[in-house]
Amino acid sequence: MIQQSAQRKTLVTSRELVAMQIAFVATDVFLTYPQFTQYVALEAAWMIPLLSGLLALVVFLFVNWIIKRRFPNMDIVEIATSAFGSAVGSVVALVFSMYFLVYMATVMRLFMENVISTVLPNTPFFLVGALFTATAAYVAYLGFEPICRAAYLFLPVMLVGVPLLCLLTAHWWHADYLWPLWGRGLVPVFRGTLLSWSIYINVLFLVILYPHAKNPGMMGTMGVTSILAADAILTGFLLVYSMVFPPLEAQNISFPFYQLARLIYLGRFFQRLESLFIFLWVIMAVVRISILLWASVYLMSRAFQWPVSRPAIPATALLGFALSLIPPTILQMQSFSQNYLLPWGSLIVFGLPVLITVSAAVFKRRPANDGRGDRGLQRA
Amino acid sequence: MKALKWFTSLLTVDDTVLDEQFMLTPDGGSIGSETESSESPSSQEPSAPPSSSQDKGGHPSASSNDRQPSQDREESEIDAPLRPRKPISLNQWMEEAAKSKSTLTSDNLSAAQEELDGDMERTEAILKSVFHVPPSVDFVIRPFRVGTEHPWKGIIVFIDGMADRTVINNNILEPLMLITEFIDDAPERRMESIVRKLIPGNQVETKAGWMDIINGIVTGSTAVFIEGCKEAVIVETKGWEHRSVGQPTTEQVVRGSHDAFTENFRTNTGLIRSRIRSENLITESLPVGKVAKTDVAVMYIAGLTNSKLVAEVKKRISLIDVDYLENSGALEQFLEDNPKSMIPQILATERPDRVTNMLMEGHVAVLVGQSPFALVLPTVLWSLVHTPEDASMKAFVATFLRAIRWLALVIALLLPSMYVALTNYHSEMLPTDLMLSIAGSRELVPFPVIMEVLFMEFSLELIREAGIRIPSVIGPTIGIVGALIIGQAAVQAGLVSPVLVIVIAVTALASFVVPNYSLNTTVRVMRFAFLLASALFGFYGIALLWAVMTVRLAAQKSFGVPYLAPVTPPTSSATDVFLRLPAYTMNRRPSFLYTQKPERQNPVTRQWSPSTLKTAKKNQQSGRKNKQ
Repeated sequence: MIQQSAQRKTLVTSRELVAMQIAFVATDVFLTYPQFTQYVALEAAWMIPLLSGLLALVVFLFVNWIIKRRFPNMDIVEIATSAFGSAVGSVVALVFSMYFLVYMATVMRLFMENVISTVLPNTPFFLVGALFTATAAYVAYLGFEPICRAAYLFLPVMLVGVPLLCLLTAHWWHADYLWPLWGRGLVPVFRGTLLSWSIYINVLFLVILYPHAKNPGMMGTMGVTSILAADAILTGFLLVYSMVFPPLEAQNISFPFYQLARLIYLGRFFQRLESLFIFLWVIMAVVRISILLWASVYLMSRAFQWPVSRPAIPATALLGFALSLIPPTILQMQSFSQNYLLPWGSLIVFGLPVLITVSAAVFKRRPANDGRGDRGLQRA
Repeated sequence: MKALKWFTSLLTVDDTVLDEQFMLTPDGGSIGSETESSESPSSQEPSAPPSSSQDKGGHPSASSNDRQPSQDREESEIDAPLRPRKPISLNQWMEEAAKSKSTLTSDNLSAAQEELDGDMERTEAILKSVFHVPPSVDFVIRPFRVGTEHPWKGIIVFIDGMADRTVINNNILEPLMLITEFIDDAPERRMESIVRKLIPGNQVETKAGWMDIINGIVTGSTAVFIEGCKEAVIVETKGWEHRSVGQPTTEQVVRGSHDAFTENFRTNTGLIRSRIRSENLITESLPVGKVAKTDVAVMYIAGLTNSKLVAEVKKRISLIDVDYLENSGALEQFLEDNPKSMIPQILATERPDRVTNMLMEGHVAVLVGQSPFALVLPTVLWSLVHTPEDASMKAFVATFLRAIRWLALVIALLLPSMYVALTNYHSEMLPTDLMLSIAGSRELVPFPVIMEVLFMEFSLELIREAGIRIPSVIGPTIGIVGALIIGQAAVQAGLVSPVLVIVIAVTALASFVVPNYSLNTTVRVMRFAFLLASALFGFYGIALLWAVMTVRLAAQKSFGVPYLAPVTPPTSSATDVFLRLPAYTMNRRPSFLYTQKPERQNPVTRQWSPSTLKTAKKNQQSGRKNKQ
């Protein structure tokens, strides 16, 4: 039975995969990313996601070009395995898996703090976190297909919800808050871009998961669409955020999305809608955490040659939850995220795929089997 | 003497009041052979042969009438070791054992008895044994003579109440008994002559195997046995009482047909056939049940429906190994992909027009004998919110009504839990006036909000259940009484707040808008789960539960079709989900069914109309693209 289920290949449509990636990256608007950009660039905060997206796009197109030419239908772990052997492939898979695990723990903690500080201030922290972890674990347990489908269903809500929230605060907009145009200056803007462009983690997802699409040949389209869409959402939101709050105040707000929602006031019967937006960010948080959890376990199973990955999900979820509790305060977790995870994450998100594909292309001959080595995929 | 008896009774412990009339114990076999299992020679009890008071068939004879079967069993189970038995000779013991072994049921017909041998005495004995006559009283075994000059022995067998007596009298017995003097065939040709010349039944079969004959009889046909013939005639005489075609009770519409399925199997298949007048509409029969068979029909359109789907449905039905299949609801549980899920994965409908439409889309329908609901599969979530009326209405109106239904579904599921979350956790969302109003109305209520809501919800569920079971004469009255008690008296007594009454009333109203009964009941149950989540964690709990529910639905499949298709996974036929487009634009069948014919109509329709010519051309182009 295990063997049978191990051989089933998970397939999702390109649109679902794109939706999952957009949902994943765009949910950064709910967390501390806007605060970080404001801190780095002040009035020019909105340029950071824009430039980060463009940079991510360039790197993605380069990696896509190599994969399409030399390693069609092979994911990044398979490329590493085929070029440097199974040991290196396993190490690569394990590195990605650990990165996803740590990323998950960080996001989990930030979301839990978000819940505690905004809607359930009197509820025990552990209870909120345990419930959140259990939900994400259950969703991840159901598999990659349902997560992508749920993301596809929820994405329109987000695509309507975020712009709606921005529009509902229109009477607070102050265009003069956007000036001076370059904020702290060009150097901080570029520095902020290089420090945080790893939020476009969808590039890494894509080079790992694109063979799960029903049409893997559309990898380029999927990547470009997801990067541009996420870029537009992040940039648009940051523009509005920069116009609503003065720059110096904006860099002190931990959860800008929530604060924006609190400002909504369109008469006595249409006010204080932050609770309504809880649905949006909680659901998207579940999708985001469950993707990270699933991907971490999936790569672990690839690294250790497990026939199935599902049984490891509860244990990994617990591990992620435990890791998320290590920093005593949210400030320390924020510090870890902004000083270590985001800046160094770009080495894993972009550096490692580039390194693997380029070196594999240099050292490995063109595959005779047209690259149909999708054994690893069948473990999903 | 009386005084002595009274005194004696004082000294006697009388515990007969503790004796039980009947105690259910594990069954040792059929009633006809109950002593066989416990007292058979093979049970290693030489002193326990079959009772001499049994008849040939192993049933208690008249001489044993003073012992009831249940008492017999009780004694055999409990008192057997202590019961005194009259010693018998070894020959008598072996004779009795052989007799008891010869007891026949449909389960143990031996190879030698599988075929008819033409001996009427033996045939009658086998029939009586198989149908347990006596004690069974509704199996009619009627011996008669065929012809008047050189009569042959004959037997007809039917079940009283299932077969039409008029047909039997006029079309079987009368021709055979009164007008057969010209028959003088050899035994092997008699049956052929009888079938061709004497039995005017419109459905007649000749069967040689006992199992086929028995199956024919228990399904309401009449079996005719003739001396010397090694075949029997099965004449179709089904004629039991059944309800005539009436109005749907759970899926009523204003514009659309007003007939519904009944408890009659053939009537139901006929209702579908009368709508789809096509030779390609296939009705395959796959009876289910070992002890008692239930008719199950699989209906689909040949050349249109995906053959893999049909094969899968037939496979799942044929693998059902039960003694008896009660109804379509039980069959649904045997067939669906994930029976533990609350959400209906097969559409159960009582409307023939709904089944017809879905058959023409490429679904498969399953009808179950004596069940007024047909099963349509596979099913996706969106179908459960559609009604047959949608197809009869203008596109804009149908779309509007669908939107209302979706809104009602969300209200029925979430409104009470939203109320709890708002009042307990997120009161800042409410406008100040409204918040003060709610707070004022709750001022005298001594319970927390969740208790209030649960009290009202529970009362409403009681009224619903009572409304179904209460005799129809007083049904409306109980509704009024319930509404008065809950709405008026409960508010006056200070048990609930007036705002909550409105919330619950709107929720109840919304739940009745959900067109599918199974989905409706699921929503009723899920509402309590959302109530619990909201009471514990407010919007956070509701959002988490909503996420889990959605992902669970996304993981669900119905006969291999994703439950949320065609929305996700997205396919090209997603237009008939939330929106209802004009009939002339809905050219394609649902793509998730992978039908053999993807197009249901010519892409270019209404090309005579200038107003729709543009749409026609667009359809034509999209049709070409799809073909490519």
